[in-house]
This record gives sequence, structure tokens and C-alpha cells, in this order.
Amino acid sequence: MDEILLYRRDRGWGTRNHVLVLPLVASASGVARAIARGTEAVWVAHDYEPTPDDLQQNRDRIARTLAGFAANPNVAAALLVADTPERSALLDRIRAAGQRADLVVVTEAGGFRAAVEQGRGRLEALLSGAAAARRERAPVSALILGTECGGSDALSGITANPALGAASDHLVDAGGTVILAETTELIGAEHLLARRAASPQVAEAIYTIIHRYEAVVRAHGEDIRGANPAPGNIEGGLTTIEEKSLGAAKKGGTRAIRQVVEYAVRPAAQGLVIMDTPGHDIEQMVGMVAGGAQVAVFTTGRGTPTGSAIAPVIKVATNSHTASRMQDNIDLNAGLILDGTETLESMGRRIYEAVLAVAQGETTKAERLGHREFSISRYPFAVLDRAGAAR
Amino acid sequence: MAEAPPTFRGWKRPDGALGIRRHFLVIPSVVCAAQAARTAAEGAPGAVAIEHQHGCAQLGGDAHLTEQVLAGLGTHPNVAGTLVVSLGCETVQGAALHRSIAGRGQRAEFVGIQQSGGTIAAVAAGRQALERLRNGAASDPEVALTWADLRVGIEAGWLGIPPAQARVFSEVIDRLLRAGATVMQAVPDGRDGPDPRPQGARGAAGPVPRDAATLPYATPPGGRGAFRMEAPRSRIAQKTGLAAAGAHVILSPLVEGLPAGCPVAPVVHVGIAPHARPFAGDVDVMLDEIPSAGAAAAVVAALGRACLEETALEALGDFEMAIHRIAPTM
Repeated sequence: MDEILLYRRDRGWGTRNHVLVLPLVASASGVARAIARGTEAVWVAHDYEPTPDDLQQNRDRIARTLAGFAANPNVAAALLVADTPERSALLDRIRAAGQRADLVVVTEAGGFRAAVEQGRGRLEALLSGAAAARRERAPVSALILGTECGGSDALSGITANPALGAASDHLVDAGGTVILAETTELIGAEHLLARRAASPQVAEAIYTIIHRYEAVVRAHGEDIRGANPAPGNIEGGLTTIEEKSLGAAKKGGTRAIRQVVEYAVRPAAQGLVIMDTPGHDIEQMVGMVAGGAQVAVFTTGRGTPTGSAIAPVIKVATNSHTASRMQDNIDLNAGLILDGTETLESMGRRIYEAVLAVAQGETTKAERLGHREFSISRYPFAVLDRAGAAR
Repeated sequence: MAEAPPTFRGWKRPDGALGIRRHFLVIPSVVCAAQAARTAAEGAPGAVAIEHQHGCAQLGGDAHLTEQVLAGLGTHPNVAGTLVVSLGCETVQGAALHRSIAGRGQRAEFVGIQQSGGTIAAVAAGRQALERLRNGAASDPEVALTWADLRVGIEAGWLGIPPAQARVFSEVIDRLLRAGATVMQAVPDGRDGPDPRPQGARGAAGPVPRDAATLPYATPPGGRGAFRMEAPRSRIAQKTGLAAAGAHVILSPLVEGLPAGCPVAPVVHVGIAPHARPFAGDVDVMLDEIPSAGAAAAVVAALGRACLEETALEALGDFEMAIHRIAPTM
């Protein structure tokens, strides 16, 4: 069995040894930032503020996202920052998942400065605990790879996405897990994916997640083409959402689809799985990482800089022009396939090898630039209820 | 207690806007440009980078509202110049946002990440653009402003402020209107709050008259006086909407949750006892269960102080941002 060096956690294997400071509500973001500033810890910010109008389904989705993100195996320990003590349930949930975690409640601490001081103390303890961690031999099958494409162009479906698909096949064949996501960018490719479903239930689930998004767009009286393909996709030569989807679906490779999971849910099956996420690059990445992905590959035609605070994201350009023009941000160039110096197979192998190298500690460009985009994803449950769509 | 000082130090922009701050605002047109925007602003005097999670994968009307909010912040009177940082392929196109901000008379610059050739190049271009904005703003004349030149945004406290404390906000609004200020009160979902108690004892801080004109979210008022503004429940999204409508200063009644600043307008937090008592040091004014006779004057004075000096939250660089969304992310 192929072995690589990873961090052992109670809930899987990590590719990084981060300590995360995570605000549970938007108004705690400032305290979280002040606690993390100048330390080794990473932190994120978001704009979610609970209100009495939030649907229970979205509260559950958001709690699952925050808990899954904090408990990702790349995180050695997490410090949560809350406004009020009622949110300590999330601390219990994260600890129950086997994660070392602590909590600062700003109102209990006595305000901003006191909370920062208290948080610093708790963070120090978490950081010194994490410092002892060392990489150990781990099976490649421990990896959950998130796949993503953003700023796609006409070459995405010809070079980078099928090359990533070849890399996905390598990982699946090694016993690992690959997440294919961004449901809105699978619209039009669902029949091809359903054909590869491991069971009729999985095939049905693939149709369901597609139809749900279509129903939402219809219920808003909008045309999805207003959002997708995006202006840059069109400038890059993509003409329709179907064309974009047929290319996007290639990221997952060619193996059987074992499972369809909801947003930010950890796959139970190994092999290729589909996660129901929006196409929004950040919401998608956060969902996959909250679902346990410890490494991601992100293909791009136009070039995009985003990353994750806790998971390495490898950027693969679809063309040599973008690869050289956006070299601050691009790790690998699948445009070499078009240039004739690489094949889909050889590029797929290179991407797979990059995944293994990055999993073992090689840093990506997004990590070096300090990217830490984060976003809370809500699902339009109410709209779906009104539309009477299948759930 | 004395009334607020009658005049405030301000600046006049070439387009005539009168502001109490001279921020240089760095706006990412999409979440993907936030890191470059933040890095470009680091160390640049007066620069404030906003962060948001939007700008792509949005449906038509929703994308339009995001663009309207960003343009409103970019043309805010407290902003002396705006730099738009775009990725290039996003739904809310940075170039169009820049045109819309510049077209409204604001000093504005544009940097595209894809166009510049990556983050590092875009950050370097952004720093130069910020310097040009600063040089341009140096000649804006300093002017003396009165309440009649200012818009005060009032956030709604939806969980219900007890009647004795709510009356203080009514008096604050009366005093501001008498002094000539324009007052905009956020009204969540057209309701004054879910609180079933009789009107006058309702949750939304001190009622702006119900017959006042109602503005759509993030829409500047056409004239002076009292206005209501449609708003979501999120207090941070309320502040963002009030700021995008041009509020120079924002009053936040803190009946639940924590203080949160706003990138372009100082926020005065009035702590409602007993909720805010444990973190009384973070609020500008504490309103006891039985407010003192001078409470309203103290709140108006705190608003005046915020117009004159940097608030504690501004000094910490602590502000949040949330844009109201009317359709799900795609």
C-alpha cells in the first residue's frame, strides 16, 4: 500500500497542523482576529449573524459547517469565539468529534479586551499542544481530495479538468476519496453522472440535487445564465451552462459514484462522491473542507487566487497564457497538454504527485500568499418548500 | 447635560459630498479579490479594506443589489477616494462597479487581478492607486458641518427594547430632527419587530414616524428629514445598508449580541441594560433599566463625539460587513 507522511488525529489524518481561531457569529470576528493576530494560529471571518428568522434547516447546516471545519483533521486544535454562552453546544459537538477545542464567550469574559486576553491564554495552550505533533506514516487512502473549478474557460473541459479527472482516478484506485461538487455546474451533465452511479439510489440522488437547484432558480423567476456562466467564463469562450458543466464534471474522473452527500457532510464511502454545494468558489471549498477534505485541486482558466485557511489548495491553469500571466497564483500548468509537451495521462500523474507532495507539507501558492477565504453557505429551503420541489 | 457640539470638522469632496472622515476605501468586487484588497490597504495611510463573501454566483436582481451596496459604500461621503479591486471573471464586474462609482463624481481607481497578472502585481498597482487617491484628496477643503449636513442611521433592535428605554430613542430622534439632521431608521421586513407589545413600547429603537417615507435597502434618501429603510434582521447587514444609503454616523441599540463596527461610518453603541452590562466597557452609552433624565442628551452627545473623534472600535480597526441577499448563492 502507498504510504505518505501525515498528522494522526482521532478523526482521520491531517495534511497540516493548524490551530484555528473560529468566530461563531460575525460580531465575534473582530475578537477572533485580535486573538490570532501575531500568533501561529490561522483565523477566518464571516458575515453570519443568527436571527430569529433563520430556518432550523439552515441553522443545522451552518452548525454542521462550523463544526466540520473546526474538526477537519488538518486542524490540531480549535478556539471558538462566541457572543453568548448559548453557543457552547457547538464546542461540545466539536469535542465529541474528537477535536481539541476551547471557547471564549465575549459577553462572559467582560467585553472585547478581556475576551482577547482570555482567548490569548487559551490559544497559547492549544498552540503548545499542537507543537508536539509529528508526521507519521499513513496510507494514501486516508486522503479526501476536494476538486473545484473556477474562472473556467473553453479549455477547462479539455485540459485541466480531465487531467484532474485522471488524478482523481489515481487516488480512487489507491483507495482514497474524491469529492466532486458545485451542483450548479453539473446541470446538464446529470444523465452522464447518473449512469456512473454505484446504485439506483445514488443515481436518483444525483437527479434530485440538480432538480432542486433548477427549481430554486425558477422560483426566483431568474435565468441561471445570469450567474452561470459568469461574464469571465463567456469571455473565456464558454457559451452555455451545459458546456461548462460537461467540462466541470470531468474533474471527478471516470470511476463509479459511490455516494451523494449534503453540504459539509463527511462522505461515508471511499472512492468518488458528489457533494451538493453551490458553484460559488468559496462556499464550495468551505463545504468540502468541512466535509473532511484535507487537500484540494482547483482548476482555472481565467486565473483565481483563492485558498483555504486550513487546507492546501493546488491551482491548475487550463492554458499556458494564464499560467505565466498569473504565476503568483498558479501551481501547475495543464496548458502544456495543448502545447503538446504533456498528455492528459502524464498531466494527471503530475497532479496526483503534486497532491501527495502537498499533502506531506509542500506549500501551495495560495498558502504562501496567506489566503483564508471563508463563507457561510445557506440553502434556500423556504423557496424549495414554496416551489413544492422534491427534497 | 449639554447638547452635542453644534459644529463638526468635515471635508468637502469635489462632487460636493460632505464627510466627517477621510477614508480611502478598498472594495473587492468579489470575494476572490478580498485578500489582494486587504494586502493593498495594509500600511497605506487612511486605507480601509472591506471584506465580503459575495460578487459571484449570484442571480440577476441579487447581484444588482450587491453592486448597489458596494457602489453606495464607494461613494459614501466619509470616503475621500475608492479603489475597486476586481478579479476579472466575476458576476459583479469590478470595472462596471468602478465606472458607476466614478460616474457619481467620486475619486476612484481600478485594479484587476487577472488584468495585472496575479495577486502580487495587483497589490503593487493597488498601493500606487491608493497613493494617487491620497494625493488627490489632499486638496479637499476642510469645512465646518452642523447636524443639518449629516445623516444619522439607526439600527433596529428587534428583540424588543423595554418601553422606558425605547422612549429614550424616541427623544434622541426628536432632538436630531430638531437640530436639522436627516434620520434613517432600519425597519426589518417592514415590521418594527416581532414584539407583540403595543406600539410605542415596541422593539425597534425609538420610532421614526410611521408615515415617514420608506426607502428600499441601501438607497439614499432624496431629501432631508425622517426616513424608514427596509432592512433584513441581521444587524450587521442593517448597518451596511444604512452606510450604503449615506449615513455619516450610525446609532446601534445593543439589546442583544455584540458591538460591531462599520467600515465607513462610526457606530455609536448604546448598551441596553441588563444585556450590555457585562461588557459595559465596549459601549459608548449605557442605558439603565430606568434611564436617567439626561439619557437622550447623553446619546446625542455621544453621536456628536463620534462625528468629531475616532471611536474605540475604529481605533481597533474592528468592523464587520454583511450585504443583504435576496436570492440564494448559485
